[in-house]
Amino acid sequence: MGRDLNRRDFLRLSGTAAGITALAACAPGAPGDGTGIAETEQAVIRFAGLANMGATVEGFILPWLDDVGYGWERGAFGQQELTDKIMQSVATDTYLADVFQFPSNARSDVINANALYPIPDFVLDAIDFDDILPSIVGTLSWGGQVYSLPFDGDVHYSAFRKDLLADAAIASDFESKTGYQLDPESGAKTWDEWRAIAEHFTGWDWNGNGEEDDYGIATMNKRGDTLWWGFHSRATAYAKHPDDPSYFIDIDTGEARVNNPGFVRALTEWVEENHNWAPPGGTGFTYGDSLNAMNGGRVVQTYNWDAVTTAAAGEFSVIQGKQGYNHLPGSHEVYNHKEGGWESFEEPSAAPFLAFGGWVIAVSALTDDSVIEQVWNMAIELAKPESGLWFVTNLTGCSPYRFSQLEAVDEFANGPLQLGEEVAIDYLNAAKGTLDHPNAVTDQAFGGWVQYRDALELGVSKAMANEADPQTAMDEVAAAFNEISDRMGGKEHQAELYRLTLGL
Amino acid sequence: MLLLPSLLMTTVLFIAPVAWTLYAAFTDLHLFRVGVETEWVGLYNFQKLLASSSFWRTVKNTVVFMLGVVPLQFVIGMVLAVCLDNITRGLKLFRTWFLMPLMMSPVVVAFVIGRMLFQEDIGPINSLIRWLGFEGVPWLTHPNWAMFTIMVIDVWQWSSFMTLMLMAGLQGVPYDLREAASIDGASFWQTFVRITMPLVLPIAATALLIRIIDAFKVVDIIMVLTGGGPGQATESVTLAIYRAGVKGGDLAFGSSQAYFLLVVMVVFGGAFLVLTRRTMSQTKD
Repeated sequence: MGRDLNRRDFLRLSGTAAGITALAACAPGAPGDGTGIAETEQAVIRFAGLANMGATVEGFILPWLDDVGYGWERGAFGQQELTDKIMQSVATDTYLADVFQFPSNARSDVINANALYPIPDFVLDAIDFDDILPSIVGTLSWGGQVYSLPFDGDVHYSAFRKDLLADAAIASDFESKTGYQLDPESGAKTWDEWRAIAEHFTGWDWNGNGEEDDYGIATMNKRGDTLWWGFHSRATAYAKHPDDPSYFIDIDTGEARVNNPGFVRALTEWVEENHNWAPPGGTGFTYGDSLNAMNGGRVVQTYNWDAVTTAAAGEFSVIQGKQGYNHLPGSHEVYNHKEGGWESFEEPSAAPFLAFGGWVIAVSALTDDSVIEQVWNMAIELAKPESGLWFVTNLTGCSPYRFSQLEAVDEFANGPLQLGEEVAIDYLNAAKGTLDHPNAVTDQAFGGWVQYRDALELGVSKAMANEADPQTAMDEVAAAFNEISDRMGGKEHQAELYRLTLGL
Repeated sequence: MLLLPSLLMTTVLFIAPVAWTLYAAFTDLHLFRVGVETEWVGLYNFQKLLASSSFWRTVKNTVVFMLGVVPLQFVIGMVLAVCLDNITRGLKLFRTWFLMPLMMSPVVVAFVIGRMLFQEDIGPINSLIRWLGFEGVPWLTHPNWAMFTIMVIDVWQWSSFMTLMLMAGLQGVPYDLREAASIDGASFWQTFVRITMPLVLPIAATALLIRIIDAFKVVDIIMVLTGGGPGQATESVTLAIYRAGVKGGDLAFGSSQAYFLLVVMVVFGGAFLVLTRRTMSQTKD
C-alpha cells in the first residue's frame, strides 16, 4: 500500500477525460454550470429533488417566487437516483443545485463532506426552530450545528382496523381463543398481540367480499425497496434496551449488534408472520404493496409512513375512517446486550423506530454568493411554520415534525386531508408517541449507511426466502457490518459517528 | 491525420474509462469515505471477490439466466422468422406486431408484465390459475419461480430481436436454392438444415452473440421485479456491481467486479466466435 492520491483529486483527474466529451453539452446556462445567475441577471434558484415531492414544492413555491421576482429551475430525480446524484456531486465537488432535498440518513456522508452551508441563525429564528421536535432536530444537525431544514417527519406508525377490533363478537371470539383482549384504541400493544391478531384474522371472510381471502398483516419486505425499515420497525422492541443507547452497532466499540438474540427473534417471528398471515406474495411486498393491501381492506394491521394519509384518500382506500393508529408495538421481553440476556418488563417496553427520519432541505456549499441571499429567503419561505402546516395537511407524503403541528387537530380533521376528528386525534397522538418517545430509535445515519442497508437487506431477504436460518442470516449481516465499518475508517471511527448521530 | 478524430474519440470514450476502471480496481477508492486518502491495494479487491460466496452466487445466477433465455429466444425467434418468411399476406402487420416488445423500455415491461400480471395476490395470471382450481404460483417470492418469471419476461421482450435478425438472414437466402432442393425431393426440414441454416449462420451467430452479451449484463428487469431477491436468488453480477459501486460508493470493489465480468464476457464471446467460425468452415467443406 502506498499512494497518496486524495480521493477528490483522483476523481477530479479521472473526470477530466470524461469532461472533454461533456464540453459540447455544456451550453451556457445549462443546469450544472454553477453560475446561479441567468443572462437576464434575474436570480435563478436551482432545486434538486424527488420528482413527485419536488413537483409539490414547485407548486407551492412558484407563486411566491413570482411575487419576489426570482427565477426557478427544478431537477427531478427518482428516489434512489437523487441520493446517488447528491453523493456523487458531494464526492466530486460538483455543483448540482443551490437547494436540494436529501434523505436525513445521508447526513453524515453529506455534512462531513462539507457539502452544505450551515443554517444561519436568522433563518432558524425566522422559521421558529424551537417549535421543531427534538428527535427531528437531531436529523437536521451534526455536532450541535444545524445544516438542514425540516420538511417531513417521516416515521413508522402502527395502523390497524379500529372498526374490526371494536366488534364485540370478534373481540369475544379472539379473547376466548388467544387470551388477549382486543383494544380498538391502541391496537396491538405488544408484538405477541400483533401476532395473535394476525393469526386470528387470517383465512376467514371478515371483509364480507364472499371469499376467504382476508389476512392479518402486510409489511414492507422486498429487498432493494424498503426492507430495511420494515425489518427494523419489527426488531427495535426486542433489541433496543431503554438504558442502552446502542442499537445497530455498539456506540463504544463499533462492533455490530445485529446478530444478537433480539434481532434474531424479530427475524424469526417476522419470517413466520409473513409466510403464514400475509396475502400471497407477502414475503416480497414493497412499501406500496403493503399500503395497498391495507387500504384495499385485505389485511387488519400494518405499519408504514403513509398509512394515515393514503387511507384517508378516496382514490386509494376503501377503509376511510376505519383505521386506528399508534406507535409501534412493544414487548415484555427486551434483550439486554450489555448484560447478555433477556430482561422482563411488567409494562411493555416500546422502542418506536424513527424510520428514515424524513426528507430534509439543505443549501449547497457550492451555491454562488450572488444568489445566497435569495436562496435563504426561499428556504425560509419553505420551512416557516405556515408552510410546514400546509405540507403536512395536504396529500404530499410529508408527516408532522413540529410541536404546533401535533396540536393542529382541526387542520388535519377538516383540512384537505379530511381525516375527521377521531382519526386526526389518533394520528397526531401516534406521531407524538413516536417522535417524542424516550426510547425512540434514531435511524442509521453514520457514514456509508447505504452499504449497511444493502448488507442487512440481503441477509434478511435470505431468511425470508428460507435460504438461510435467521441466526445464520444475521451472523452474515453482522460480519458484513463489521467489514463495512473497517472499510469506512474503522469500527471506532464509525462508533464515533454513531454517537454524533445520536447527539451524544 | 484523418485518423486523429476517431483516435481521440476512441481514447476519450473507450480507452480512458476502461483504463480508469482498471486502475480503480487496484485501489481502495470509495465515494463516501470522507477525509481518507485513496491507496493502492494491489490484488486485494480481486482476492476479496474470488473469496466471496455472495459474488459467486451472482455469477451463477447470471449464467443460469443467460443459458435459460438465449437458446429459448433463438428457437422462438427462428420459428417466428421462418413463419414470417413464408407468409404472403399481412407480413407488415405481423412484423410490426412481433417487434413491439422490442420497442418497450425493459423497466416498463418488468413493471407491467412482471409486477402487475404476475402479482401473486390479485394478479390476473394467478387469478386465472385459482379460477381453474389450482394453487396460485409464488412467481416472485420463491427463488426458482422468481428466476423463471424473470426469464419469461426477458424471453417475451427479446425474442423479437432474434426474429428481426433471423428474418433478415432468411431473406438473404436465394430462393432458387430452396426451390432447387425442393425439386430434388428434399423435405422442408432437410432444406432448412442443409441449405437455409448454413447460409443464415453468420447472422444467427451475430444475433446470438449480441444477446449473450446483453444477458450477461441484465439488470433492469431484475431491479424492478425482485431487487435481486428473494434472498439472492435473482441477483445478477451487474446488479451487484451497481449496488457496490454506484449505490454503495465502493468504486474499487465495483470496478473489480466489472472487470471480472468483462473478462468472462471476452473469453466467452471469443470462444463462441471461434466455435462459430469452425462450424462455418466445416459447413463449407
